Amino acid sequence: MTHLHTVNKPVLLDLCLRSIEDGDALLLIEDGVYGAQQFCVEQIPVGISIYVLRQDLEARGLATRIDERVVMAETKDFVSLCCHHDKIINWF
Amino acid sequence: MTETKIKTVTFISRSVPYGSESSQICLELVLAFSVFDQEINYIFLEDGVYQLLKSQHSAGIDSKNLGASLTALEIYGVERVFVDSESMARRNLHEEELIVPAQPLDADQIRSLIRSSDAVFNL
Repeated sequence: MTHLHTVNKPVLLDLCLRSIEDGDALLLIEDGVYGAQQFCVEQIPVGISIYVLRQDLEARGLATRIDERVVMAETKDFVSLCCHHDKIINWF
Repeated sequence: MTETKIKTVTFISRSVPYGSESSQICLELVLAFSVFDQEINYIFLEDGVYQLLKSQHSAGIDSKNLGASLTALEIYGVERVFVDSESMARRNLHEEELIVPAQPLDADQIRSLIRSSDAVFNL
């Protein structure tokens, strides 16, 4: 059973990481996209797939600061991530 | 005729752009104050330093481009723009990534700017 965690504020990333497990996916949206930077990704276990919503990332001028582990997601990928996990946990 | 003394007003902006209205409101306050020929200090602190990042493309989230708006500061004569060097370092940000020139300050320099101001707005 895998979970999709969505995070919309950088301060909530720590809280989310406390309950995330290997095999889960993490989707960074809105202000949560600051968590896609290298110095933030370092603290995320390697068993977690990390996605970031492209439009939110580009709005904030972070396109060149993204860690190589992070996968760029479009809105349609957001939808398919929701469909492919058993549960969605929103950290808002 | 009484002469009006010029006051020093310091604005501290601590929020990321877009997630809330704080950053936009702070900029609007600065631009409004600039009309009155006061001495303005504009300090970017903590997550506020993210407002200064180049290449913000905010059309995708239907928001006004804050980075582009900050380039108007020069036109309004707001030249005393500062950034907390510690906040920059913690976020691995470098001066060449900033959209407007901002002078890096350490904690002592920021403290003395605040102490020497007639009024401080913090948001």
